[in-house]
Amino acid sequence: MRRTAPAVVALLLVASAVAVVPMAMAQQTETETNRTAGNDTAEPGAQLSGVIAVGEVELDGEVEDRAYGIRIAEANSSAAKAAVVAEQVNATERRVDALAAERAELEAARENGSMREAQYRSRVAALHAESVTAARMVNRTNETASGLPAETLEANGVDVTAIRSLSDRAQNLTGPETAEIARSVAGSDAGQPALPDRAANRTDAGSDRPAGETGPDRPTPDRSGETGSATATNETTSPDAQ
Amino acid sequence: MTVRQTLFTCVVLTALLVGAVAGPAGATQAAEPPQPSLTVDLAADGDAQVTLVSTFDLAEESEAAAFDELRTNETARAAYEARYTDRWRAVADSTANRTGREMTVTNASLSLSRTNATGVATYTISWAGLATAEDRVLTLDEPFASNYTTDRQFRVRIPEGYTYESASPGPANATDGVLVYRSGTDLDGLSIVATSTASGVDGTPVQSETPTPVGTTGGSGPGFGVVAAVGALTAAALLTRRHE
Repeated sequence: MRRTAPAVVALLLVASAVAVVPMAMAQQTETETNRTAGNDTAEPGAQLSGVIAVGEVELDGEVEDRAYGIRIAEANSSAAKAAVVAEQVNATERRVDALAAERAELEAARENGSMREAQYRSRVAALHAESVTAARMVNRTNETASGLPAETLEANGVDVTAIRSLSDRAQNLTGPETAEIARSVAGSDAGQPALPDRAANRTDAGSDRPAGETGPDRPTPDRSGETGSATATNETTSPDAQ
Repeated sequence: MTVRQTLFTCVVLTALLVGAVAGPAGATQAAEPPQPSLTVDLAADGDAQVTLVSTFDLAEESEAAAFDELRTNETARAAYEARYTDRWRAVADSTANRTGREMTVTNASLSLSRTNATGVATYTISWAGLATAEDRVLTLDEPFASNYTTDRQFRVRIPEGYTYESASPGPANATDGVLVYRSGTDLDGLSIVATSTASGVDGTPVQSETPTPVGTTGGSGPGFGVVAAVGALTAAALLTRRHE
């Protein structure tokens, strides 16, 4: 699922960037030094842009997360689950590539002065939220893969080492400065699910399972329970890594 | 006029009439999902209802099912609503600091709906003190004036009894008290001024003026279609006469 509006933002961004210089993401996080915020960083309009963008990223990520769980739950064999994992890993890899390119464009636009500091910060906040979502999806696939036979994963083109590498790349999309910018624009929870217990429960369940453990060949609900509320009775609590 | 010319003229006329009549109507079909937008409904006291519409592509069945799952999960929906409201309050606080005016955000609501393969999130808030209201003059500027990026249509509705006086930058369209800015418009330094049409002593509103559309898109009426149809009809008639 993709939001429709951010595509426009991306076009605006590309149009505004006079020079685009590809940069390695590891290098980008290293260059996140002590840049001082400009006078316009507190501009409420830019803050509003960031708040709107981050909110949409979060809803988008929530749906993507749940959709992945539904696909895993509907996969009725280890092979089918492995195929879902492979599909999700590929999609997340494309997402991380796109985010890395966008990050490079943002840095270039900031450096060459074609983007105001306030606009840069609102876009970085959204990018941070997207990076958090991508990292979460990598973790989700890793959890699922850890419960599937190695030979099944291999037969379906799932490289566990590559998943871990992708996890590193997703996490390297953001650094301390990026996180701080996101926090100043949209709060410390930018990019996280609105119900943290949901993610926590799912992660705990997944981490209990040894890597390579074979899961049952039956549909397994993937939607972790929404804790703390009696209204979430339609949610189940089984993890997908089975 | 030859048969060929007659056919040509008929085709042109039919196409234009269909475009003039069906165009505006088609834009409001109930089955069509809304476009992303941010709408500010101003009240005469400077308060406003702000509505943000976001849309999501749900190309896969699992995505549609996931969106429906979220839509029917009151706990999750309420959690996102609360988070968004906290952030909009922070924006209101920043705006209040910048303008020196008191502002509050209340009555937040987040609703989710789906039209086929499009998910729609509609978030609304009441923003007290968003515009200045002094001497029957409403002025809207911040927070939009300070680097708000219009990645969607931006609409400002002038309250009943007020008329749109000026706007900088100018909207693409201003009809029936609604100013429409296209996605991508640079709103830096935005200032929209509306004045009361109330007549002096008893404050009774006089008939509201309808500003002339200044843009080419976004109109809800048949304006462009009819004008284009008349122009094309004239052109077709001239063309036919030349061929005779």
